Amino acid sequence: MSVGLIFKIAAVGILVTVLSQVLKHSGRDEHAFLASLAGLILVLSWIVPYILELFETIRKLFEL
Amino acid sequence: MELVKVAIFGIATVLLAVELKGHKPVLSLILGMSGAILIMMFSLDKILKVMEQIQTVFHLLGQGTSYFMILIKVLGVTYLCQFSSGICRDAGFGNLAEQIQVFGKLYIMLSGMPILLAFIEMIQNL
Repeated sequence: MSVGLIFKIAAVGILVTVLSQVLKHSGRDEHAFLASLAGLILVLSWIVPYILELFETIRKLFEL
Repeated sequence: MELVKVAIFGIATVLLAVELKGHKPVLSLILGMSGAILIMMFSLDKILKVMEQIQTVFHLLGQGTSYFMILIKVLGVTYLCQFSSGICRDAGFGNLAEQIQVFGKLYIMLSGMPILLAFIEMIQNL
């Protein structure tokens, strides 16, 4: 169905880790933090529609 | 066959999440959560089939099925509270998970009250 979502999130995680390491070693700590924040927000933007759809389906299914 | 798919999917998600835990704990939590969400969505169509079977049982039973609706609602509440409290427990917040469970139990007790009252009234009328 959307197994790729898991691998996309893992890929973003690894890339952000590498990026923040590189940025940290080159002395720019703020950019490293901003990069990890951007990665987090990107992943959240992927996952939130799924959460919404899941909770809506459950609500309709069980007439909550 | 689907069972094998879900099992392998779970293992793959856990492996990736554990690897990410060292560098980015937040992303590993989100990974675990998204894995749980996908598996839950995958199991939802099974629940849909069960619901259709239950509807046909209702038609056979005819009257006296008003309280079954509460039963289905309670099922949904437990399912949802179990899901969200599990995620909180994964993140390490046991107390938050407990509070969600407590709220679920109270909600179920509240929605089960009419059945109890109807039962007591029935006894009194005997």
